[in-house]
Amino acid sequence: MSIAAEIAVEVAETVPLLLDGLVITVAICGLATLFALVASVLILLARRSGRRWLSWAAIGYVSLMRGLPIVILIFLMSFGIPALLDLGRVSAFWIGVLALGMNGAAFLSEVLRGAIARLPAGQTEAAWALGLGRVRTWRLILVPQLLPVALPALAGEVGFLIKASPVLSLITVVDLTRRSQQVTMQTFDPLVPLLAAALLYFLLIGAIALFARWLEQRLAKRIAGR
Amino acid sequence: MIELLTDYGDDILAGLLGTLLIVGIGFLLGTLGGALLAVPLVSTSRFLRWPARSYVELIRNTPFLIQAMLLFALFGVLRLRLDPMAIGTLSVAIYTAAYMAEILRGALHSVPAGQSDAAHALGLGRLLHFRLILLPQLLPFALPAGVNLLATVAKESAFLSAVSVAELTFAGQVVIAQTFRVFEVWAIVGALYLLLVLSVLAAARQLERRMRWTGSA
Repeated sequence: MSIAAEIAVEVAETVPLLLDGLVITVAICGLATLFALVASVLILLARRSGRRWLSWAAIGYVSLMRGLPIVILIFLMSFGIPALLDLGRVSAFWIGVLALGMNGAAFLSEVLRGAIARLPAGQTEAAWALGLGRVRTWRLILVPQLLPVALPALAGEVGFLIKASPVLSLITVVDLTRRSQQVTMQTFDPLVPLLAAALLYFLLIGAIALFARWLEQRLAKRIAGR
Repeated sequence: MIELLTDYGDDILAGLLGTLLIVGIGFLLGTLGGALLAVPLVSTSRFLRWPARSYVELIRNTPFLIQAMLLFALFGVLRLRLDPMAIGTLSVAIYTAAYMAEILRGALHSVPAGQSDAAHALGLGRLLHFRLILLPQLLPFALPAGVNLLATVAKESAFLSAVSVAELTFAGQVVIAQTFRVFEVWAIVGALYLLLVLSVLAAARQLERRMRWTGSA
């Protein structure tokens, strides 16, 4: 049997050992996406509030998230800030959710802001002329048009966060990456557990990317069909 | 804070230099690789397109840290001794090439195919066709996207600290191990990354604006 086939068999045998880690990775990224969704709406509200200090705070926050590597953000949140405030030990799992969610929220808010900016201003004026209030204008007119952009973006966000999620392994969360390192420590094989982890990441991120694209096309078709 | 900077400022700056070197050289190599990859990527032959497409999808759908760890493990298994800085640079190049190839593919697709026939009919050679017809139309799209990619790569490079490459984040860990000044060190290191990444992003925005005004002429 060739070396490649041998390695393929070993990788297939290692995959089941990594599933615990995969579950943790998916759980944290899923929770972080929920957090990001809520937080991105809050960021947008702050930005559109008309109060200068609030919109400046939102812009500053988004810039901070765009400029800071996720590695540094998570080190600051799990080691730096607890040391500064003398918090003692913090839960690495929830710090992971928070850090990935904070990062995702900034990017999601930018996507939503771009989508809102593309909506024709005349629609809001027309809705107001028809006597629709602010809330009903958003609910009935604007949000349904934002969904075809927002839903694929949200799906893409999960994939984006999973790609960033090996950062969790750096703060001792036993995610997919760290789980593969643990297997390496038991088997002394540096390559196969990593290959198995890479395969799982690839399948997961690839599937999410395909789903996001499918959703985008489907929603675009529905809008066009109307 | 002050004595931290006077005592360990040099170590942190050396780390910053490491990051600049790894990202700078890795990004340049990756851009070159991306340009070479873009050619089979837009090819009409399936046999040329398929390997390039597989490479791009493999890299774009796996985390950078996993790619870097795999590369380090591979060098270990093959008993090839290479400086960690060099392996780190190589992993940045491998990552950049996939994303850059995709940017260039998108840009190439935006140029109508008829233009290449027209250029041929006008008697322009391959090189002139590229320089006079293709390049001016690729740049307004590819240049800002490429600079944005540079910012992403600079951020991703922080992951290399996990495989003991002597870059900025690793320098921060070394200084913390000596001083236990956890918050201050990560704040300083974070500020340096912010400065680096945000100025690259500002340059991308500037390029985008300028390219838009001059159009594709």
